[in-house]
Parts: sequence; structure tokens; C-alpha cells
Amino acid sequence: MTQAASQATAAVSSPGAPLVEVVGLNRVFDSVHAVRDLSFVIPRGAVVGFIGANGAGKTTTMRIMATLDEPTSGSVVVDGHDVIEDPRPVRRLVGWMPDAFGTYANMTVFEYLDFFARSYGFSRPERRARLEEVMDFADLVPLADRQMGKLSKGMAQRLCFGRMLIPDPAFLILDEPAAGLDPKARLEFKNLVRLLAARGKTLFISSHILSELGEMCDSLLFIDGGRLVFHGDAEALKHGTLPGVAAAATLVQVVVAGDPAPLVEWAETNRGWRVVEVKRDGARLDCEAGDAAALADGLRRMVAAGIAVVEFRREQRRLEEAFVDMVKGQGGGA
Amino acid sequence: MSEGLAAAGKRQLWPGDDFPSWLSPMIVKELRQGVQSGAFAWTFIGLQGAMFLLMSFALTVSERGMTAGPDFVHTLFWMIVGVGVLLVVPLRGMGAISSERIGNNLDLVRLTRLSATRIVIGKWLAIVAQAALLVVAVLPYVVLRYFFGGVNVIRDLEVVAWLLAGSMAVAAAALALSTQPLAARIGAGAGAWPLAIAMLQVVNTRGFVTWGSAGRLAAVAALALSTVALLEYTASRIAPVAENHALRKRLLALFVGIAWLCVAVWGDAGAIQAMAFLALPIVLMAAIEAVLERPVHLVSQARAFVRYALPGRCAARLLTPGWATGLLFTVVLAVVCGSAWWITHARFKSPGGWTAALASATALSAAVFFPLPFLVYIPRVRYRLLPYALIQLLCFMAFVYAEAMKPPALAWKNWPLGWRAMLPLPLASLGSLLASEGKPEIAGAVIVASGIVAAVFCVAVLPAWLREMREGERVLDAARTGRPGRTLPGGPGAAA
Repeated sequence: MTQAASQATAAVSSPGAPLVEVVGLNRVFDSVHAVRDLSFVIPRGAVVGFIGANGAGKTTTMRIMATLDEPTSGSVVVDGHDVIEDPRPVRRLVGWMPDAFGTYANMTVFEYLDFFARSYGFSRPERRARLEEVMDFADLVPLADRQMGKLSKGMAQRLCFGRMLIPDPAFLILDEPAAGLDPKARLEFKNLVRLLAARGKTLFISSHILSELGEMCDSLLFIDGGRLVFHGDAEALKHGTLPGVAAAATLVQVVVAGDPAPLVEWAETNRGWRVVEVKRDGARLDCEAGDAAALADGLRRMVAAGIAVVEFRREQRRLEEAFVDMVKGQGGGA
Repeated sequence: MSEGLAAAGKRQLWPGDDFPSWLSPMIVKELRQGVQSGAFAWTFIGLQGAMFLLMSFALTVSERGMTAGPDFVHTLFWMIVGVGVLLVVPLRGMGAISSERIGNNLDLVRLTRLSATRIVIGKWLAIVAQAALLVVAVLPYVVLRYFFGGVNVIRDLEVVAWLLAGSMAVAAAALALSTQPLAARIGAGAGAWPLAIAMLQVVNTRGFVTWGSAGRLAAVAALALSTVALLEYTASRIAPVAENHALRKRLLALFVGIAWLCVAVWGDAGAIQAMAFLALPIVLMAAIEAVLERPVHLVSQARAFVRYALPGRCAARLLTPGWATGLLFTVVLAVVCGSAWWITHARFKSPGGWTAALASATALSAAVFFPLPFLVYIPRVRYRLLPYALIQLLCFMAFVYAEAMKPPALAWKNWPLGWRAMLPLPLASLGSLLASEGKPEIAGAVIVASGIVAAVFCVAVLPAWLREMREGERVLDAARTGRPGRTLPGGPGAAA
């Protein structure tokens, strides 16, 4: 165990200490180095998104955090307990939702949940109360008598979510929870995450779809080729205000009444402005300065030049673009 | 509570203090799934159909006064029951762990409060309960057989007991196999048939006749211990690395070895024969498992030993996980079992005498270690049992080839490409020794050759072994002083 990890262990359950501390984590499978020297912390009560392409090492990292795999080196400490040396208390804290789970043959939704409630050691009265609460929360009551094999993807995800909540874990690890869900189910899932966050749970959610995490997470972790490439909040990433990351271009969507030619001519003749794309009713422009004052000044000058501006809107940079820019900037490949 | 849930609750959700509430959740789940499965239903129906046909046949024969006597009916009766109870139901356990792994379900169960041992025992008990259910279901036919005469109640009860005991052991073996990759399961499944048939042949021709009551008792004990060993092996495959299952597996094997030694010293011939026959697989399994284990040095495991000062530290060198301690343990086990072997031969003056006994014990011990140098220096082999089995298979094939190529008129001792060529391969030289029925000149050569192989092996693995033992020592010190320190499989400090 490393020095840092031992210090983390010393801070067992201290309220100010982070809930999870990952230090120098490495995992090698045969010839594949799945996770490389990964280090980060997760504060208590935080909702953290874990983002990376398929095969980036997300699931491996999460499985190690959930005590289901062993690192080749490095350590993961959850609430002061090392996941390798002391897995039992970690397992009591962790709720794990895998990206895919198989169904049990000849078993209804209720029997499945009841089996897990028994396995978690709930006595009969406790079990009843807990299952009622979980089934209500995950909207599983109408499915109670349904065979597991006959559930849709969304229903199965809700069931897995409900199962995870049975022991009331403080730290929830969700691996690609929204993958394959339809828009309605995705929205329901986001609501569930918000509810859990409001209850003070710490959530660690992985996805390779950035947009779905950007709006629900307090912070984001980007992993690429097993390495951590970014740890911060979504807004900082979108606006390129991160140290070591090049500032992103500010794109402006301008819609005009009538022919866009005067707008294009204006942009070509004004310093600091560049035409990115000409559209039927306007253009996308790149403002070099990018700050609010420069944008306001540009709009004022457009109007003064007689351009009939109907809409002037700064484009929100998408997280995907920000991620690609960042990985390129760090010499990696997305 | 919502109305839907309340309604569901009235129907089935909260049946009160029902019987399953008192059982382990894993047993309840496995039984529910097992008895509802098509495989169990078809076995059940097939068995009932076969019994009906058999009884109809017996009735017809009896009415017409034909010669196909009751013995034929009884033998056929128990054979049919045996197929269901010894094969069909327990062998379904071969998919018990692997199928849970495929669906990620095993991970979810491992995260509950159920320990690895409880998970495995739950699955095993559910299989055994299904086998027992089959036996209970044929009881009406057992009673019907009394109308045809020639039934011995005690003998019937004994057969039922042996069937169930056998079913328990086969189910445990199937569960152990279910933790292995598909190739290993197929290989073991194919290889187990001739072995099982050979064992049944031995039991049938010699066992019940010559073992006597003490021998049968020893056989029951050995069967029970092998079942426990197999269940422990299965549990170790799904347990977190922090749990020291090497301790239990090795203590069990040591217990079996010492029991064998005690029986060899004080038991009668039947008991020794039964004990040797049934203890040898347990001991071999433990030894092979010990020398194949990945090195794991955890402070949490070491802490359990260092609290007993010097005896604890000595025990840690034998009973903590990893091939290095496993090697030391296997040497101790080989000494115990070799002594039992030698005492048996000395007491009963077996053919070939003590030289043949020593030769076979030396060759067998060297054979267990033989593939280790290859494995120690191959980094990160995921399933070490496969290359280990492959190397042993190659040795065996070499023996078979030499045997097949032997000129018919030539005696073994004059066949230079025969036993002499086999000497560097311990398993093959053991085969040569057995084929020659323990000829003294071959036995002597096997002792020398196996000794040399063992010595070469020791030199080959010594650096890696010393490194591993030093690492273990460092972790023991860390556990004593409260300092951090650990090594995981494949991590820094791991030799293999």
C-alpha cells in the first residue's frame, strides 16, 4: 500500500475526508494495460461522472472500486477501508449497477428483489419495509409479478437500480446506467439520480455519452487509454477555462432577415471575426476575443452597419467537442 | 404502500413466516429455479417413465414365470436411479457458477452479505436436495419391488446412502469445474469418464468385498472430506483475495494425510486400501492447487498469523496463499503421505516391496512439481491449471507412445526407448514403473531419476522462491508492526 493510501486509511470515516481516494491505480490484463496510474478523489455527497470511450478503462476502474477486481498496483480506499485488504466494510457501503446483467430463469421481479433482500440479511419485517420503499422508488410495483426474462431494457435497468438500493448504500457506482434506454426512460433515470443526490448519496456514474452526464454531475472525470485526462466541472470544460487546455473558439449563431450576404461581408471586413459557415438565413461566426464585451460590441457594430439581425446567440460548446479538443491538446486520441 | 404492491403482497409477497424464510436465500433461490427448470422436469418424468416400463416388464416376467430373475430387475432399477442421481442432476452443477458469471449476476451476489462459502454451499445443497427428491420420487417403485421378491432392505438402504453420498461428491466436483473456463470443463468432463469408470470398477470388484466395515467407514469419511475439499476449492474461486482459503484447503489436505498415516499404522488392510484409494485424489488436488496458486501477500491475512508469535510465523510459511508457501506445504504433505505409503508397503509386504513404494512416491511427488519451473517464469498466465495439465498430458502421451512402440517380443527392461527414455519425465516414469509391476531395477532408476529431476527443479525455482518467501516475510513484519505493505498477483515483487 502506498504512503498516500495509508494516510487515507488513517483518516477513517472522518467527515471532512473524501469518501473515495484512488491512488496510482494500475490494472494489467495479459498484454493490455487497462488502467494506468489513475489517481483521484470523490468527495462525500458528490455526483461524479466518469467519461471515456469504449475500452478506456471505466468498467475496470469501477469494478476495482466495488471490490470485484484487484488492481495490479495502487490502491482504492473507500471511507477509510482499503478495497483489497478490507473488502467487507467497503461492500457494505457500495451499491453496484453493472452495464449489463443477466436474468434469472423462472424468477419474478419480486422474487429477485426478495432474494437480494434476504441475501443482504434483512429480517422479515425489515425486508418488507425495505422492499416496499425500493419498489415504490424505482417504480417496480406494477412489475412485481412479471418474469425477469420478459422485461424491456428500461424495466430491467429499473430493476437493477432497485436491487442496488436495497441495502441503502452510501456510495453508488453505476456503469453505463442509461445505455440503451429510450428518451423517456433516460429522463426517468435522471430524475432518480437527482433524487438520490438530494438524499446525500455519493454517485459515481460512467458513460461514453457526455451530454447525459454534463447536466447531472458536480464534476467529471475523463479517462482515455486508461489514463485520467481531466477532472473538473462541466462548465469549465465547455468554456475552456482550464489550466493546460487551450481556450475554445467562441462561435456565434447569427440569424438575419433576408439575404445573409451583408453579414458575411461584414464579418470578412472586421478584424477579430471570421465566417465559419454560411446558412440560408444567416451565418455561424467565430469571435476571436470571445468575451462578453467583444460579443456585445460586435452585435452593436452589426446593427450599426445596417444588418437586420433577428437572432444573435453564442453557441454552447458541446462536451463531446470539448473532450476531443482536450484529448488532442494533450497529445492523445479520443 | 401502493395498491398494486398491497395486492401483490396479499397474493404472494408476504407469506408470513413461511418455511423458506428459515433457509439460506441461496438454497431457496436455487431450489426454486432448479425444480422449475426443464432439465429437472424431464429427468423426473424420464425416471418415472423408465420405472413404469421396468415394473411392467418385471410384472410380465413374473406372471409368465420367465427366467429373468429379481436380481436383473434390481440391478436395472438401481442403474436407472443411479443415472439420474449420480449423473444428470449433479452434473447440472457444471454450469452453476459459470452461468452466473456470464450474466454479471455473480458480482451482484458477491456484494451481498453472503460469503463465498455460503453461496457455494447453497448451490450445492440445492442440487443435492433435487437428487434426494428424485430418490424420494422412486420410493413407490422400491416398495413395488418387494412383490417380486429377493429384496434385502439393509442392502437397499445402503445403496441409497451410497447413491446420495456419490451424488454429493459429484455435485461438489461439478461445482468446482463450473469455476473453470469452458475448455477446462470440456477437458475434465472428457477425462473424468474413464477415471470414474475405473474407480467404479475398482469399487465394484474389490471395494465392497475386501474393504470390510472399517474400510467402508474410511470410504465414507474420505468421500465426505473430498466433498468438503471440492466445495472449499469452489468457494476460493469466487472469494475476495483478502480471504485466506489456502489455509482451509491445506489444513484439510493435511488432516486427510495424517488420517491416512494413522490408518496405515493402525488400520486393517481393507481400511488402508479404502483410505489410500480415496485420500490420494484429495491430497493430489490440494498439492497441485498449492503449487499453482498466485502469490498474494496481504497484511490483513498476515495479521491472523503474527498474533501467535513464532508458531504463527511458521504456520504462515505453509498456510498463506501463493505457490512459494504451497511448495513448502506440498513437501510436508508428500512426507506425510509418503510415510503412509511406505508403512503400508512395509506392513503388508506388497509386490515390489518398499523400493517400489518409494519409487512411486518419489515419482508422484516429482510429477506434481515438474511443470512448476515452466509456470513460475511465464508471467501472467490467467488459468495456470491449463498449462499445468498440458505439460502433464504431454508426459503421459510420451509414456503411451513408448508403450505403443514397444516391440511385442521385447521385455520392458531391454527396451531402451521405453522406460529409460521416460526417466526424465516423472509422470511417464511412474507409468513405466506401474507397467513393469514394480520391477526393482526400474524402481531404483526411477528413484534416482526423479530425485535428480526434483533437484534440478529446486535449483530452477530457487531464486523466485526465495524472492517470494522474502516478500511474505516483509508483509509478516508489516502486519506485526502495523506498517502498510502488500503485493498482489502480477504486481511488483510478484515472481509470476
